[in-house]
Amino acid sequence: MGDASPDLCTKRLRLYGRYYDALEGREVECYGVRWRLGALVMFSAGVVSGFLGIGGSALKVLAMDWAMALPIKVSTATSNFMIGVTAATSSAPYWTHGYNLPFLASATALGVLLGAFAGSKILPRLKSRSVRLIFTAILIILGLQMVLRGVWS
Amino acid sequence: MELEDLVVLVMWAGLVVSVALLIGGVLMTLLGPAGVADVYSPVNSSAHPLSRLLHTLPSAPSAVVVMFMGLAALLATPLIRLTLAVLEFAREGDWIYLGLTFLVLLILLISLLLLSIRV
Repeated sequence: MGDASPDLCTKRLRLYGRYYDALEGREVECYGVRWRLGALVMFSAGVVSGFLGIGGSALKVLAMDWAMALPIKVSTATSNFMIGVTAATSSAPYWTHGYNLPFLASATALGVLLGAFAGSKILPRLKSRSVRLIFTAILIILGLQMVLRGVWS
Repeated sequence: MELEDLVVLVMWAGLVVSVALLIGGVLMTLLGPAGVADVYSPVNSSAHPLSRLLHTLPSAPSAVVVMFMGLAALLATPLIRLTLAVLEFAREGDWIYLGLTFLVLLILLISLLLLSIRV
């Protein structure tokens, strides 16, 4: 959707921020716009990840990057920060109904934690364009996986 | 200690505790009798409700219970983190963000408490 100037919600909700970009060697200032559109995409992210168990994070990045016009690095990092809360919310019913297999869940969690740790170290050193390219590739793979899971499971 | 430092501490503590339990549980499974690590294992979370895990652990510290404790610690970390965020915004008198964070906490609590009851 490209750049947008700060709107009313940017001011009311104080959606201003700044981060240090190690690659560019300077502080980057940013702000979020169109929170309603962002919230709508986030709602879809919650529904989709609750249904299929995947795709929530990717849609959250889209909500912030595309709808709210935030930088891609801010979007991916914030999405990662939020995932604990959103995943915990949708995992409680899964737990009760027995969809949680202990060994698979534990081994996967350990792998994800290791990957997330490595990713958080690599992210600051990547160009925004590279992050966007990697994200697009993952989005295509996830999209295919979600269609397959939705149709055949 | 500033509340923000406490948040960082809680998140690190949650991570360390859950990783330790998960690694312990996975190792106990791999070294123990075969079966639980199988993809078709009938062992699942329905027999280990969150509310009973702490009672089960001292009496029967099996690999399965240790792994579920690790997963429960992962689930509990954002809950504690959110509670601290509510306290932080209340202290700052930031009513908009207090309301928003409280709403998120409420949804999480409803999910954990109400939906955990078997329907």
